Amino acid sequence: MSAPAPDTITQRVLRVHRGDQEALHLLVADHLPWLAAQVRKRLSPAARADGDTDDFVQRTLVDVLQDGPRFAIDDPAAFRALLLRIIENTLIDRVRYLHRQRRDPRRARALPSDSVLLLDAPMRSVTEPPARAAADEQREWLRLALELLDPDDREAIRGRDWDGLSFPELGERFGVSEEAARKRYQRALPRLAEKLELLRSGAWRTATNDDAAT
Amino acid sequence: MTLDPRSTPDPDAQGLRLQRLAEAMDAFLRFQRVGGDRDAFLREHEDLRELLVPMFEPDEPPRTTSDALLAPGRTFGDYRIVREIGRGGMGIVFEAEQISLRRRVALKVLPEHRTGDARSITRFRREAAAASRLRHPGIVPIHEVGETHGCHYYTMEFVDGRPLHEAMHDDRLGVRADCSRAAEIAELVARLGDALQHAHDQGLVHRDVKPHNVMIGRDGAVRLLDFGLAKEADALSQSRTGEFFGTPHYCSPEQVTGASAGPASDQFSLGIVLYELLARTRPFTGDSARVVMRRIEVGEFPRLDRVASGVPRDLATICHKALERRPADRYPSVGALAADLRRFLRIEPILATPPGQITRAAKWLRRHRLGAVLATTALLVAVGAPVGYALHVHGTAAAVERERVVLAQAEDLAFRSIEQTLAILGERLDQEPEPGTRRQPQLLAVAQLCEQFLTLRANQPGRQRRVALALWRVAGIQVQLAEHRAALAACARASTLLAADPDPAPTARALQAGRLLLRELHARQQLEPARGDAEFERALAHWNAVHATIPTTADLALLHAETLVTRARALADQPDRRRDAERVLLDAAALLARPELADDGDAHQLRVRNELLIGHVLLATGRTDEALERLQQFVPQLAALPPTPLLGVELVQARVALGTALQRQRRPADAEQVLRDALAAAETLLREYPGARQLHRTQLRAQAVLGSLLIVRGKDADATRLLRPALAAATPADAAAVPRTWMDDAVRADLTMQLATSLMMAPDINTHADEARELLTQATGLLQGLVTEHPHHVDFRVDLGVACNALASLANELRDFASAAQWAERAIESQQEALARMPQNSQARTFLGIHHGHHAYALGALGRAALVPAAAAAALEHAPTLVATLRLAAEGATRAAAASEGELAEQCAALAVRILARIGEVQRAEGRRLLADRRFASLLQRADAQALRERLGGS
Repeated sequence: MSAPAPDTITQRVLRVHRGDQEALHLLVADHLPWLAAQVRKRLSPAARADGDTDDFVQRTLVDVLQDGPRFAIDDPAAFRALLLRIIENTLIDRVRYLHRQRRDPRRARALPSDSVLLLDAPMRSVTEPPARAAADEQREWLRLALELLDPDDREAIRGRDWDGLSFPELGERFGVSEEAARKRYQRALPRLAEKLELLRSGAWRTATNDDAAT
Repeated sequence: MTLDPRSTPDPDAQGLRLQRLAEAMDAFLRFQRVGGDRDAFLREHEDLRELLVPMFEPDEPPRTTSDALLAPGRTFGDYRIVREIGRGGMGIVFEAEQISLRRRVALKVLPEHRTGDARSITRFRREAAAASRLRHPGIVPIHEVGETHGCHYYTMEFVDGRPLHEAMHDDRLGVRADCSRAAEIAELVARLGDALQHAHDQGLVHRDVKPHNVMIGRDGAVRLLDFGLAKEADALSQSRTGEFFGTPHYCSPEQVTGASAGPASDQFSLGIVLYELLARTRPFTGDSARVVMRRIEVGEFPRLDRVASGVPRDLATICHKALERRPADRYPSVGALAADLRRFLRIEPILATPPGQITRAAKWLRRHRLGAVLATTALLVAVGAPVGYALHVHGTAAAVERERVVLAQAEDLAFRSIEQTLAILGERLDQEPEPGTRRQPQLLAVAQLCEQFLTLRANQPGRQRRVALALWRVAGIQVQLAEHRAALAACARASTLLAADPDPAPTARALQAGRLLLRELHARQQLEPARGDAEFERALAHWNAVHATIPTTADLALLHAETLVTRARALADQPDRRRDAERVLLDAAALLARPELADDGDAHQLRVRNELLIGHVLLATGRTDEALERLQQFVPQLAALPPTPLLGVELVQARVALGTALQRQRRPADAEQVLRDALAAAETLLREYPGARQLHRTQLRAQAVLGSLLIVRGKDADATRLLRPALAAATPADAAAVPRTWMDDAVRADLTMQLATSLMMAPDINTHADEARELLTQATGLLQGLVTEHPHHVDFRVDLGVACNALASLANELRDFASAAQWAERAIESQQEALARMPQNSQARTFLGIHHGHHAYALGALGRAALVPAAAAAALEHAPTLVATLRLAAEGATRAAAASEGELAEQCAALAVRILARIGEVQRAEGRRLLADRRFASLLQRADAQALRERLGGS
């Protein structure tokens, strides 16, 4: 009798979203070393000296897998590239917004939803969700695209659409005028649309601007 | 991790917002794929218009519809686009063909993002119309001004050639082939001068003369472009930060200073072009626009004969005249400049003359204001007064009066120079690393000049007052440079002068004296941390007298409060004066609550600082809960104030205090984050103010505190990584070159100790033992120096004890028990001295217990049993809850019991048993505390919880 085939990434992600801690640990064990190494490699020497980096990557990885945008793709390179981009963005946030507000990758927390974006093209083509699920899925696409945006854009959209800030409040968060906040938000919208389109078309590599996975 | 309350908004509202966003994104992407009429699409999605419109028109300089219209080969009205030639803020220029006339033209279009701005359109059209009035062979003629497809444009003659900035470094410019390069340059600039003169005659100033706006045709024609468009295009528009967007290299001093830029401004810019052509480098250069502008403003450029060989002297003279800083010193017109250039070309005598010695000296003085002050004053003192005297003896009364007025004006001028010099010396001190080396001699020179002023014979009302004010400023700069003795001397002198010549207005008098007293107090405290009482008493007496005699204005109340806060800050740093600090802070709080300060921004700032200082004092006196509450309330308020180096320092200090409070509340993770925030904030500020010594020191202090926290958290490797560079930064490469204060040494000692401690935490003590010992020896040296220098500062004695104790601990671990005993004795001695000065210092008492623990252990190991009972008992008495110390003491007593006999052996054994029993009690208490900690409430759910409780005993 042969050993059972190991779970695919997608299966594990789905298990994580059902609250399966073992699947979470397996995913972390499989991907953390690579992700942490990548993050370290890209940090400045001064930041690298900060011994918290690995802890930070692990914490963020767990947060993303549990509460971040719900996506799964069986290609390990693609899966890692997406995770790497999200973790790096969170790291950038940590540095950039240190003085204002701590960013928590769970802040754009999932609304009650069972949708998981299955990014493997063949699976997507046979998945035609019903209307309610489609709405949930739309939001998951948004969340994922949001996580891949540059920090300023991301913060503008998150502030406005996730946190429901008015433009004066958004300006206050950024330390700019209301008008400047409005412009920043308006500039971010087409970029979000672009990311969304890239992701949906399966161009995840372009969407993450990343060649580290290769 | 605590979430911001705003980050958990109403989920329903959030759901709706996200739904709309997702729908808008979908609709937009669908439209992009399918295409169609945009307006119809927007009408169809009216409810999403707010989101959709920005997706079509993001607010940034677009290359959108007009780009499509103006693509090569496209027809734009009567024009067919050939190619884009250039692009700037106020226009995009294309080479085009006018279809009806079959001629080549240059088509300039107002960028699309400016077409929504009515002012831009008006200006574009008005200026095009103005330029079209000009008919001159050196000016590119305007053909047509118009609008098509909503785009505003005008067309000009197309010059087939290249812009001067591309040609100017070539050996030949292509203007004239029959002469030298210098003559060719003179010819080119003369032609430009003619063109500009024509424009000036028509009442038009170009304002943007630069090589980019000069075209050299293939036929050698020289044409000037872009008349009048520059004013707001780039060169003169400033961003919020005051930086120029465009290049400032061709601006005139009038433009740089924001004065009215007339025809002489164009002449200056043309002079820059001439200079650059001759020298192949620009006259005004610098690392930043600000530096360039500053040099233009003061007229500081290298003379042509210094940067380029072979430039004909007359041509250099002409160029230098055009580059005179003051418009009145340039040629009367740009036409006159052109005429002089032609005289040069005809080998005739030019009208401009090289500046004589006096003129050059005067210019040098203008550029070097400090030198000017020195020279002017020296002249005034050495020459002016005797001249006045001679006139007095020999001249007529009218002449004497005239000269007296002249001398008074000269004195006023010279003194203004002193004041300006002080302003220059005092500005941007924080942005310069090690500013003292350069500025100190200058400050001393200014102080001497002030004295010379006082020796002038003619009596000038208010002179002493003015000098006193200057010395007050000198003292302020000296304080910033950490030259506190010099500051005190300046304050003392200013005080004397002020007393002799007080301001007649009582409020002004009170303010002047109050400011001086405050500065003196501050300098004294910086110099000697335990001093300042006498200065403070004088200041209090002053304020009591003021409040008793004149109405209290907002300014007076604020200055009084600032004096109190300054005093409280120093008192708070002294362990035995913290109650006094608290009292003074409460007085300040009462003053700041006065109604006349209710809406005062400065008072608000001082109020926040005052409250935070109270937080520091509460923390230092062990009232952690109250301190935490106050720090959490006021740190964000301080952070919201506009950043300055002073506030930056206090913000970092407040965050360090907050981190310490959190650590004491057993919230190490939060404490670490707050400390890291503090460090990040300090780093950000230091990038802006690299010379801010106090800020730098505060950063180092924060690193030391974070390092100690990391050690406590078991992250000793992280601590080492943090502390090693911090200590390197705290140790000057050239100690003699940088004036150091006791505060620098204190920070360095702290970092040295923390680094040594982190190294000693290595699993194998031998790994870093030598380095740790070396560091600790350095730390004890530094601390001993501080104790000697500041015998009243108890903290230094406490720290010295701790450093000696660390050496004892290291020696114990390395089994060098004799050294351990010696170091422990020295630690005990230091701590006892601290306690003698401040018996209620609980920290010193605990440390004393720790030192006795190490001492007992070393003595036990050395077999000096007779000494052990006293040491072990002292450890038990002073550190009854520290398990590690108790273990050392118990071990020492056990060994002593084994090494001795009879009564002593029994005494030691009994003591060992007592201490071990105490350890058991402490550990059970710790177990109970953990079990009761609400963070581990789940422990109580376990089946064996009751059994655990029973074993631990207690309530």
